[in-house]
Amino acid sequence: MRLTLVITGAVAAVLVGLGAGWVSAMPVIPYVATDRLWNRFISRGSQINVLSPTIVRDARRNSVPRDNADTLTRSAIIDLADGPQVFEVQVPTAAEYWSVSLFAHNTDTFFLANDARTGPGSFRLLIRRPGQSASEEKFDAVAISPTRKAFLIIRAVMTDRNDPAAVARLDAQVKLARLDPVAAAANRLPAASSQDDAASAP
Amino acid sequence: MTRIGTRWVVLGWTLAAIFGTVAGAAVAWQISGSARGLKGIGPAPWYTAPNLGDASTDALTRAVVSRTGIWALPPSEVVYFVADEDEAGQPLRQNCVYELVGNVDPPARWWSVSLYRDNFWIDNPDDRYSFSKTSVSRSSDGRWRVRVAAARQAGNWLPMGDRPGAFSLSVRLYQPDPSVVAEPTAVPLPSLKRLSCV
Repeated sequence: MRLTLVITGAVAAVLVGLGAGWVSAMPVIPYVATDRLWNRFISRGSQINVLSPTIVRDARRNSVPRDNADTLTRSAIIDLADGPQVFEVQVPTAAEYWSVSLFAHNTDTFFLANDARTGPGSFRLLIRRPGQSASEEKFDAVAISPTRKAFLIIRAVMTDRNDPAAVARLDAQVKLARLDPVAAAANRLPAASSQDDAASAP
Repeated sequence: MTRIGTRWVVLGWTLAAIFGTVAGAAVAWQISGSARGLKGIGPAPWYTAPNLGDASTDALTRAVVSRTGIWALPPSEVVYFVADEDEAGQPLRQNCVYELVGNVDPPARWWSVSLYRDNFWIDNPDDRYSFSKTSVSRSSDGRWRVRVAAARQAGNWLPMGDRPGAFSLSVRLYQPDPSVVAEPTAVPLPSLKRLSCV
């Protein structure tokens, strides 16, 4: 075979490979980024299907890029392998903004509700996979996760993170949230108690 | 003319393709690690990438966001503007002093402006990483000024820390007015001027 043809073929193979590598890596990167952070949270004590406690985060213990320093945040890595989960909350009134959002393993947002939509009071959310069955009439909303694992984030915006009294007031309200398997939540009154677990927050 | 066996040629092409694939993935990883890959639109020097935080956006934006601002909310809920240059088009530098001036509040339920170095908060004794609609000190007419500098400043001060790096400011608009999404270039965001450098 002629050398020029061999070299041309090799260059073409590299270029095709470059394109294939780029195209195939792009959709994988969000999964990798998610797994890296989840593994870091777990190494710091986070547990699957357990809400993290509220803490005012600082630069010395933050691993989330471009995080919002003004939110009191709780989060949970959710695994729906054993069935749906129920998120219950007393929506805070002391927040400048409050929301609960759910992200698929590939970072897609598949559910979002803010306090303007929910209003104050209790809010019950069923989180399930397609095909998982649960009685849905007891819930204010149903979130269907496109992936088995997902990430739940509660964002409660503080008036001023450097005002301890205001932060304490909001913190007491943000604690009134819990995450349970659907069977455990079925016989309990909505959002009747807090579930401020000992796991480390992200 | 040199002649090479077909078997060796195929092997060489296969290896070249494998090398290219690995290199393509490596380039994708490298580029996705910098928010500077997200050029968008906005009132300069601020910009926002269209549909940032939305599942419908392109693969590169999604990859960049996952590594530089993961779990961003969709534009209907939060619009994120970024500035990594001052109004003169110069990159933000740790040895300079900058001033943000807000004359009016952007049309949103709540807003904040945060400072990052290499996409993370900058450690400082005040634990001050941002100012917001509800935390910034204002003058009697409602206007506000924030100094961005390494050395302590009087009034609202966003500390740049003691190390150089890739600095950027981010404005978040929570529950923005629909006009923000429809016309991001017209959003009244703070001016960002460099005052001095050492």
